Amino acid sequence: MRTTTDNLENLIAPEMVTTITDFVVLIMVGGYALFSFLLMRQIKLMNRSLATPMASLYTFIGRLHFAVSLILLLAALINLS
Amino acid sequence: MLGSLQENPKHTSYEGRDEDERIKYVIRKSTLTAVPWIIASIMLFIIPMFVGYVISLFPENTPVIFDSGSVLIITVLWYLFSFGFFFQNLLSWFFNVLVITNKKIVDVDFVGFLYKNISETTLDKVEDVTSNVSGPLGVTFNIGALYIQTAAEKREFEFHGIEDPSKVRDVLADLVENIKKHAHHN
Repeated sequence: MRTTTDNLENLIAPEMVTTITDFVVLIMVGGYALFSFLLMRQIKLMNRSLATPMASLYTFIGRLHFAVSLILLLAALINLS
Repeated sequence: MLGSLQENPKHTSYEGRDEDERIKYVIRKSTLTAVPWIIASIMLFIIPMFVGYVISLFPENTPVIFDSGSVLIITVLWYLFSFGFFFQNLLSWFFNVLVITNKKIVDVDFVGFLYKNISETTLDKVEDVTSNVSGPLGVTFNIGALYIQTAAEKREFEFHGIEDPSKVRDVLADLVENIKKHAHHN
């Protein structure tokens, strides 16, 4: 007869748990980096459709946002290795 | 800069503007329509402050599933996401506009990343301009919608969430009347 386990550590080795979560974090950060890239492209499209005095500020913020997400992606990669 | 009706905006143009075309008004949604996402952004920024308290409620023998590096990355990612949420909404509010020039009405729509729609019609094709204010919040803050009926291919332009829509309707109707009068004299 099959019984349930009392402790999840019986299923996954303790040292594997943090590796799996590190990998999940990497996927999340990767997804966010993609979002920030698309946002940067969208700002370019928006500024082309409607040119305003705020264009350079929005472009700068979009690029900074993308740069920070790339740095975070690099940090997540280093954390995994 | 942040008002619903911006008159003679400086250094503003739209894609496809003619050389002799001057932008007279840029209409965007009232800043009050931004309140829900501003509050949501503030809440997103505040949430991590309570995480420490929630974790302290866990029993001492709770297994560790995140190492310190992951915790730091998740924290930074959360704040970055909160900022991204705010910024995306700000851009959506700022760039969804109705542009009125001395020749045309241009409706610029952006929805998320994947949808961009720009419609335009000449002022002489405008047949009717209607404004309405409805609902308790609309009546309280005088926020409503503008409907522009045209004889062009796109029959109606709709713009919701405008501050003082009656004033915008009046301004637009006067502009259309002047254009039609001018065209009639010529």
